[in-house]
Amino acid sequence: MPHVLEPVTIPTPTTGKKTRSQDDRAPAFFVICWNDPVNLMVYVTHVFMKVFGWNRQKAEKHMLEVHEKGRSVLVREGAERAEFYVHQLQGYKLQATMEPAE
Amino acid sequence: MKLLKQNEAGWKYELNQNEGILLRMLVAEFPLTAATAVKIARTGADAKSAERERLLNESLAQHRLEVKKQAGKLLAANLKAGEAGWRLSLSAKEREVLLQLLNDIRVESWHALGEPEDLDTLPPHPSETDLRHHNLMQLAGYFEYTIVEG
Repeated sequence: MPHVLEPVTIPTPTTGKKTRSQDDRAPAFFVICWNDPVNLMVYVTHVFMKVFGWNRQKAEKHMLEVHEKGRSVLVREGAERAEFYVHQLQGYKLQATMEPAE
Repeated sequence: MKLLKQNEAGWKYELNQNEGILLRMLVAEFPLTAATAVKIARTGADAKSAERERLLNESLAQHRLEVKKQAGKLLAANLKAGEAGWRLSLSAKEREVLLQLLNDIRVESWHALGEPEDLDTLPPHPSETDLRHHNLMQLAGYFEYTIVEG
């Protein structure tokens, strides 16, 4: 008769759950780039690729959205990260802001 | 201005005599004006927005000083006279610094012109200052385009 193993209770990984819960409660922000007539389209695409590490296709999609719709939501992040991205984009003189997501 | 070579070490551009002189002139013009204050939010604000905005504008002012310092050094070291013009070598970091400087001149010139929608048309009776800002804006755009697109 094969040996029957006692059931083992695997501890619940509480750490990850707690972190996720905390993130859910933290205020979220949209990082938005607004259209203007002065920033060149190739320049805006270049900046998105540099700041976010996006490929050209994704960067161009957002650049065209800015151009055609007046703005593009680039990312949704917590306050600190959103602020970091706004600083980066404004350093390149793009009109970028962080807006509360809720 | 045209791209000669791009590899892991960076970018090499060739500039004619006039372009080399104009690029030096542009870098020397920076910063063109005091930076226009920027907003950190447009559609909504939370309790920390004012402080974030103050920090953003402080950080950008500091950033401009750093760009000015680095750009002066990089042109002195990397823009060399050649047989028919100039050669400009840029590492990835230097290329970003130069692009940021050029676009700062372009955007601040645009602000100084009253933020027109049509960038190609001058006002009916442009002042000397308008003409200067218009020319700087167009020139900075020319170099930006060439640096990004080769």
